[in-house]
Amino acid sequence: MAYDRTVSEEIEPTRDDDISAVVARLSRPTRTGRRVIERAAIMAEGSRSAAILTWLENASWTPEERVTSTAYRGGAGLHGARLESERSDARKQAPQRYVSPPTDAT
Amino acid sequence: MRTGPADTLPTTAQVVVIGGGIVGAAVAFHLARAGITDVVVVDRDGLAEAASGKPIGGLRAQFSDRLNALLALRSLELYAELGADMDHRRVGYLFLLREAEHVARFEAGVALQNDVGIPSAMLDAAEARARCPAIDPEAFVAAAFCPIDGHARPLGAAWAYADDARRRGARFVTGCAVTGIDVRGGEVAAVRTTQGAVRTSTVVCAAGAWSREIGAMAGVELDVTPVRRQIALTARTPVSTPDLPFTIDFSSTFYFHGAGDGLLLGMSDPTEVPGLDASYAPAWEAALREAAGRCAPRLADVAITEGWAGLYENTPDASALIGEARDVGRFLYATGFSGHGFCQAPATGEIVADLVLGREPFVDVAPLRAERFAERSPIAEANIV
Repeated sequence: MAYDRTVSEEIEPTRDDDISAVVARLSRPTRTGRRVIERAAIMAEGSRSAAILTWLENASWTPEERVTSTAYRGGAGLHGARLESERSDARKQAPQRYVSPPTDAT
Repeated sequence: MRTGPADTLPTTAQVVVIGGGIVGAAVAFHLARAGITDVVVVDRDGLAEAASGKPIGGLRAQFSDRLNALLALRSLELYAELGADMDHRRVGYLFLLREAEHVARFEAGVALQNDVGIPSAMLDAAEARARCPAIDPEAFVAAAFCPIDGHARPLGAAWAYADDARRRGARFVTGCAVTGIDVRGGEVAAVRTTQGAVRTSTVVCAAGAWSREIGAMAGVELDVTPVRRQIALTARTPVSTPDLPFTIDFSSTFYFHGAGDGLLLGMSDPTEVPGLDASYAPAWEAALREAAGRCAPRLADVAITEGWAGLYENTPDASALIGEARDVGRFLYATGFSGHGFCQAPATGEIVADLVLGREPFVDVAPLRAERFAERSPIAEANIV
């Protein structure tokens, strides 16, 4: 699955150490010893999210697919269905989270 | 550094905490700090993976009920003491009010808050717009603002509590679902899980959305209903300024605040059906945009970059259940926070530790007993969205 770099057109210069610290703050360990970071947590960083996604790609973190509900949403009706179809490809294809490589020591 | 792989399940423990969210972690922290280190926290998934995994959560003291306000105020103090890396932004909560009835209710709330030391104040519409220039001032007649409120990262707080508790000896076992609770002679005897059984004399249910079924395992009724709540995150917008308050249109429940140089948007969805589905449903964004446009017109067509869904653990009066079961000895509960678990977790952890130890908490939590609904004594909390 491709990484999503469309989240911001402007990427502010950010030091690698800063991004590493943000990743450490936003990620959590799993039972396997790897770390996981939710895409929503990354996107809540605003335009800095693009630099974080690039950092994760360079550090060989693995994107995981999202689970999206298609359940009936009361009141949304056809308009809701249309909105779903209009979502950008980037959001449709964006992973839900990223998992560190086994040796990551962030 | 956050702790690594999970601990293994012991066969005995002095206290078993069910639920590894912010509340369960805070309970373990306060127990461990009080010297009760033979504690095991079990979670069916991972630590802070459910509602406590919300990217950003609100922290406020503006509650209309005195007990809720005291819990929240004490929690703000304890978060400051914790010093966790949680990006705590004290930008204030700004409740925008459209109706005279709501204004009267908030005026009473502000008086109560001021009485317990919370520095909230009523504002007129122009003053509210000065705090948050994006809003349509014509839509509102007044507002309530409290500068010590704000928002932070729940994950950072939960892990700070878990790390500290673990350093003191508490264990955190993940991927460990509770399958039964043994009660003998009216007292808790053991907790059975998918990884084995733990003999214990004390259980704390901090299972959030799953609390009703955990309580039922011990024969304790916990009136907690899971309901999905969703949020959306936006791209960079000039609306997001460093001091942008956590702004809430109280009538519609639409709210927004800063998230980096973008925004976090949220709203209660009255069509949401109770249940455990926590997957994100983008169709919700139509109603969100409509409400956003009525509150802050520039937000109606803002670009949304991501959505997130989690479960509220609602009670009938939108206030927590904190206490010890009347008919099952040493079955304690801290759940049903109805969206305010992050706000009230620190004080709750402190109080539950006191209840376990038989100490008198800093405030009487009897009004939050689980039996209050059967007794027709609900909490009268008005500041709920």
